[in-house]
Amino acid sequence: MALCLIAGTAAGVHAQSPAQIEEQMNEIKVDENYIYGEGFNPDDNIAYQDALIDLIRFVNEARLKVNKELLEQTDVQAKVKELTYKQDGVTYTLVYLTVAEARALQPKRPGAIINVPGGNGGQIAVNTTAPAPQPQPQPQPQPQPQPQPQPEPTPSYYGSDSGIVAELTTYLRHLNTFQEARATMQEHVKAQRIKAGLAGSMAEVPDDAVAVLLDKFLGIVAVVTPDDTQTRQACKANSADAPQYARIFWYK
Amino acid sequence: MLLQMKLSKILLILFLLCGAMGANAGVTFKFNAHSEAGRYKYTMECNLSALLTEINRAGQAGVPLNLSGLSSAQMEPGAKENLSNLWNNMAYFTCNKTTVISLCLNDVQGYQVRNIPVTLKFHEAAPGESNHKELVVSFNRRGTITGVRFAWDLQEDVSSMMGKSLVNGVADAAERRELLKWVEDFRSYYNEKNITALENIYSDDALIITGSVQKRVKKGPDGQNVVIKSTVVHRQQSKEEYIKKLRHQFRNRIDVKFDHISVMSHSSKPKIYGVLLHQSWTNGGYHDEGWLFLVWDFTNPDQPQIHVRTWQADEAVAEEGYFTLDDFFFP
Repeated sequence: MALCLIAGTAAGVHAQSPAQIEEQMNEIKVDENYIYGEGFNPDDNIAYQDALIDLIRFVNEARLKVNKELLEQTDVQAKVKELTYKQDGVTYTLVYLTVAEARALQPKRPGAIINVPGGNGGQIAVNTTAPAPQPQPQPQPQPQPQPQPQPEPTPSYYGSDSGIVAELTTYLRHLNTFQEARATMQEHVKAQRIKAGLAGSMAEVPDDAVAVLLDKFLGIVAVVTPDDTQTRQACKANSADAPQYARIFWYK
Repeated sequence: MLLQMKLSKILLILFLLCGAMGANAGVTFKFNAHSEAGRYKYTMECNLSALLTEINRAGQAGVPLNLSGLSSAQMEPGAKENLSNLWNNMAYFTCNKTTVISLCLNDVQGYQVRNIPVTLKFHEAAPGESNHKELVVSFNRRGTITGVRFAWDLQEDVSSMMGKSLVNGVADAAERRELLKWVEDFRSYYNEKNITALENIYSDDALIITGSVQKRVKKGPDGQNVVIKSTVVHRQQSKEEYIKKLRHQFRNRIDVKFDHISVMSHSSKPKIYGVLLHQSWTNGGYHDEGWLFLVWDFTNPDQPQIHVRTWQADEAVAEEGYFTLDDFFFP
């Protein structure tokens, strides 16, 4: 079976009919020496991405059972082989590895769990692409204006006020949606550790504030610091290379 | 020896039955090499092969489904009714492959099979809606089909939802897969116009807040309607009022899309989940988009209940933020 696959791949997938490629895909699916992910979509790229997501999900669930660190797309993408064909306007993609290859995969960067107060009620797991800052035990530099009941102690992850904007910026850069940060930002605003606001355009954002560009679904498009003058100018001028956004949340 | 013979005979009968059902250009379903499907693995393969074969027969002919060939041990009567409603109210469809091989997934109540590619023929034009979808089939622990629905469209959403479970443990993975199943079913109930299922899923004292966008228009210089004012009107309704209004709305074509799902669990009440969805709602000539927040109680896994249903227009979310579990008190 392996020989057929190698021969098939060597001959060039494009030389084979969809039926032949589908047969190869089916052979992989019933062979316990392989693991795979599959996707199908009229768009080739989406079919490929869905296949990769499918494979990573399977691998990570298996790794979880044996307490191994979880993998991200970048850990897997270069290692997988691919079979694909198009039929009736739909692209069918299978990405696969041998079981031995899958077992040998290592994460390039370890994941982290960040304690975040309020919001989703406890720990939020964040699949980070870079090591997240570790909590540092530091005293609060300023007393609260009023005593505020806290369901959990505020982690000292956010450090002193002078570093809080920078640490929030690092935190936001690890997230996909603003929703995940909403409760955290609300807490800091209530405690007057930061000032914040909403804006429809970069022109309305104070020059010394960090601008979080959001799409229509409050997905985080970009986090633009005050020293990133090039991006800020591009947004103000609405130039072609400026990131596209629907609204801006700013803080300082 | 006698037991072995009896087993062989049973397997032979099942095999022949499967073969007979699949004889007419049928679809064969098999689990892949890594499936842990329990002792009813072959039963599930047989039942799903029979169902997909009938789907292809009826879909290619453009006629209603005839599920009488599947016994109640193969497919629950409620599942047959829901699938027929989906078929008759939304679209016929056909399976794109004659051999479908997929992984067996565990959820709280049984098993799920995903990654079944189908092509739809909508009964009415559905602009912006893809006619290529993924079918998902659910089974109970004895291999009986308990549900058929379309999968969540965005794989990223599914991964994001399932991904959070990967840190919280394997048991959580099964729960989140169960939750995904109920959310997919919830969306399907609107497409099926399944009032009974929607009535059952809301608790009797559910807090239901709906919203509508009222637009004031005037004729522009080129004769086109120009929106000069847009107002969002919210209304709190009892479950009875909400269901009554839905019955009326179901007389027209209804098209509900959900995307951008996120799920949050309650810190001290493990069976309570907050589910946030972006909803696109079209009913007759009316259309709006906004965010639906549901508080879902999975204490009874056979019939989870929605205690809270709120809606916020897209524009409101930017200023107010989304609802979360923190906005609601649980005694």
